[in-house]
Amino acid sequence: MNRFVSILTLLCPVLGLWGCVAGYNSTLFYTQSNIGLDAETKPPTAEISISRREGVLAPGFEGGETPPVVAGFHAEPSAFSRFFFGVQSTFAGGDAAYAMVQSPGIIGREGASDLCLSTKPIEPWWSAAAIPEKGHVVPFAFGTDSVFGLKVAWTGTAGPFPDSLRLGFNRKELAWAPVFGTDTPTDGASCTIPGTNEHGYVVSMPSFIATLNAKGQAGQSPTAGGDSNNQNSQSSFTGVNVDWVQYFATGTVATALANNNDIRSVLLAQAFPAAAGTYDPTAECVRAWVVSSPDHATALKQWWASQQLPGIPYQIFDSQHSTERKAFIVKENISGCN
Amino acid sequence: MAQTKDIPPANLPDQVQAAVALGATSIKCTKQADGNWTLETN
Repeated sequence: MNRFVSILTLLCPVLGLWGCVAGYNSTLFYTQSNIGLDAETKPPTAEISISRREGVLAPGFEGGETPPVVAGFHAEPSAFSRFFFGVQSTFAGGDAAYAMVQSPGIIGREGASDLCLSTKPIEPWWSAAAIPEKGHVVPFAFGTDSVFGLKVAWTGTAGPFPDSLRLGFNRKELAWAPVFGTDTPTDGASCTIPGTNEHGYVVSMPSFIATLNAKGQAGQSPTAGGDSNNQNSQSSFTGVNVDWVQYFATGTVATALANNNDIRSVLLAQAFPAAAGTYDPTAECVRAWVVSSPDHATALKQWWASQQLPGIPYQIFDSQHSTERKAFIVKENISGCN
Repeated sequence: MAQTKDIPPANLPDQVQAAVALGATSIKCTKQADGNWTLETN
């Protein structure tokens, strides 16, 4: 955390000189995740826990509109006992954030996250906080810091003792993204004031994305062998398998990456976990009836919607939906399915 | 999104056929450690 604050302290005056004022003409978005041990001497803190901090300082415009950001974090249920295994993290802004939350197969296009305002925002008294327009160049800061395993850092100021010690999983994500405005969008953005033919004022933010998907398992631990009497007598440890995938991108590449279903599923699996069911062999009769005719499939979909049942019609074949299935059998009078 | 676990291998094609018939836009099949299958559909 100490270094995180240091980075912010360093970035603030530098970006401030360039005219980046978070909450006015730029968005400051950060998260910090820790699983395991995180100890620092400045300030003296020690965490042995699962902790998560998230924050955003973004401009708010008329109608409550704000540049979109999204972050997700998921640790396996027994992550603490296994320390750094099974961690997923997503961090995105702009068009990439919009694309990340779309359903699989739906493409989030460039410019989808643009905000359409009825008028140009009033410039604040501090001209450096004004929204940059065409012709301006403004820095965009975006970074992540991930630690997996053990990390000990010395600066020498604490004598023989380390300044920080991290064991387990630790990740920080930070973005300071400028917000741009224009009343004459050139990228085909549609922004018309309702009820008129006048163009509105378009506000946009760069697209960025950082994802991490870490899965680990303790190999074949320990693998038992057998002796001549077929009794287990020895074991061997085959190590730890770690699958670590990390992506980092900005601009159009970030949006394209966010449109990838595999990337998107990292977040969607956290936000919208699949409704879990179990195969029920007694449902085979209904399944065979449904696939025997497109009209039967349509009848099931319409009935499912009319009953206002959550999820999707396919779930009627699960053991958890036997009651609904019996009701459907009666409704359609499906012979032989009782 | 729905997930159905413990589908025997012999019944997996039928389950996929049913998911398609009901308009699934994506289907993901994962083999379980016990040899059965888990089907995720949207």
